[in-house]
Amino acid sequence: MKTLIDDKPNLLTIFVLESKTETLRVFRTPGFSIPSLLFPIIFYTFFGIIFSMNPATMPTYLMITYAVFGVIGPALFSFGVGIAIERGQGWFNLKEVSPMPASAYIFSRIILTFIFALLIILMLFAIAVIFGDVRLMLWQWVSLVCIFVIGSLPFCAIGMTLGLYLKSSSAPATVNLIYLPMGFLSGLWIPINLLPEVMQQFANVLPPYHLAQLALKITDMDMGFPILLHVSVITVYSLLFIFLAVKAYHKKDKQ
Amino acid sequence: MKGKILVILTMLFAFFMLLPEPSINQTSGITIASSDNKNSNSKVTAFSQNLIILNVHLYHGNRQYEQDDVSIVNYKVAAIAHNLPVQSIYPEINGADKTLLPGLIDSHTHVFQNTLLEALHYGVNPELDMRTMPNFANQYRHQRALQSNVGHADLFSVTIMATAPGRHGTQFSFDIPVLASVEQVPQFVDDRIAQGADYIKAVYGSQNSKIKYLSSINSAILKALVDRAHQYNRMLVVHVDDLISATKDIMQIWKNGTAYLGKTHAAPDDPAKKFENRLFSDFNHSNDGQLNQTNIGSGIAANTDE
Repeated sequence: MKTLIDDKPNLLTIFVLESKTETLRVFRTPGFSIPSLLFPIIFYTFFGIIFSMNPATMPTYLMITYAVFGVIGPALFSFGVGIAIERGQGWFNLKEVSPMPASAYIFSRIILTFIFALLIILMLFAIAVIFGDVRLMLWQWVSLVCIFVIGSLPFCAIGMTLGLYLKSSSAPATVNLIYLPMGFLSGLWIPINLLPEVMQQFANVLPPYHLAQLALKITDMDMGFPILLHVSVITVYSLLFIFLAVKAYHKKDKQ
Repeated sequence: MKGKILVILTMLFAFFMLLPEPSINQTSGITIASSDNKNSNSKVTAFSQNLIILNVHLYHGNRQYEQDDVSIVNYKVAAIAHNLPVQSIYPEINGADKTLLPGLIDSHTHVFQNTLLEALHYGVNPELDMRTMPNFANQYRHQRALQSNVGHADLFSVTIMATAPGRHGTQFSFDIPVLASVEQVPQFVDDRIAQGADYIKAVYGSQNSKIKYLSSINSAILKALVDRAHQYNRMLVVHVDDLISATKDIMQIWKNGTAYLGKTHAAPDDPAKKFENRLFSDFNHSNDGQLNQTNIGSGIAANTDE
């Protein structure tokens, strides 16, 4: 492997090294990693398996929605809370003046989100298969993983915006205040069709709802709206929050 | 580093190869009840247009036939006989020690997302819905005419119930039309028919009942409803919560009807007692206790051919 002492630093090397150290850092702070990993698993075990209303479909349905819940968590927290805290510590500024490109900073956090997402998904799948008797075709398992992992990207953008706007002291509470209600109202905790009509309508403006619907299409459990609608809403949200994040980043520069 | 990544990728691959797939040895859209319960968890995964079920016990509602072969051609039962000539091109299902049933009719259900799909998984077809929203019902109603497997149970629906402002039926956070006077009845029934209702349902509570209903449509509205429904040759189904509403009022208006009751109590000298006993014996006999959960509450259907 190349090292940093090379004449021309390879961008890929920087990306890999930054991702590696970032991952190492997070796994050495179990205060973040363990709750993020266990939260969706425990919820799924309670609502999807132990208190399952319908053992034929509920474990499958909730496995998918809790996986969505699981993957947006690390995206929001690693970006939102992570960046806010590093800004508060001055670490963000230090990294900015270092020769490392800003893209490496974002890339490493995306990789970190993917790793967490994948770990959560694999644990959920294992529990669903062993205790919930969930059976899916191989293409369904694989498509679900792809949707979940790629679907975490828009939430990285949302997290980044939050991380750049919020103060380090208020970030954890604020992100929780967005994450938990948004998950519930999007029908990730209990199926969306069990919520009252008004709340079902409201879910249309929430991005996790659309991601969950896309994933539920794989097992034919969605509400039956077109794929294009869900993809468009998620895309619009991604673009909006990328724009906001860029704006926040430049605003911070002028201060 | 490369070695580590390779190990991780291999483990991921192994994980996905280990994830179980559904068993697909059952290729029929027909429920086969297994007496040994071995296959009770297996769901319908695919439907074959043509197939043969061999050596199956057949129960078609009032008689059981032992060890028959049933051939299904183009989604329809084509032949039932001992030792049917086997068409090798058709998929075969070994029905030994299993019983083949016609679709169970769920006579009181409220359908919403996925329930029609699940009904079919459990061998229930058709579903007689007693309240849902017209838009939902219309997605499925027309598919009754299709012979092919549409993947869910057939639906007959009442769409919106006829009820008084504030009474049962209005609590589901849907904005539904309610009935306060006899004059509103023709329009209400016309609208339901236009929206595709297969029968009309009313929620009724008698003034004479021991339960004091805060509001209910009165007997004049009920009479107008059944008259209007009969003009369209539709049945009126009435939801009642107590025996007095059922026996003192409705049974007085129409001598002819069918009734089922979930759970109620009448004094031993009450004329309703006889009614109740008959209903309970009918109920237990025909449903074998299985439909208890779906038939919560009580109701009376006034026949259209009175």
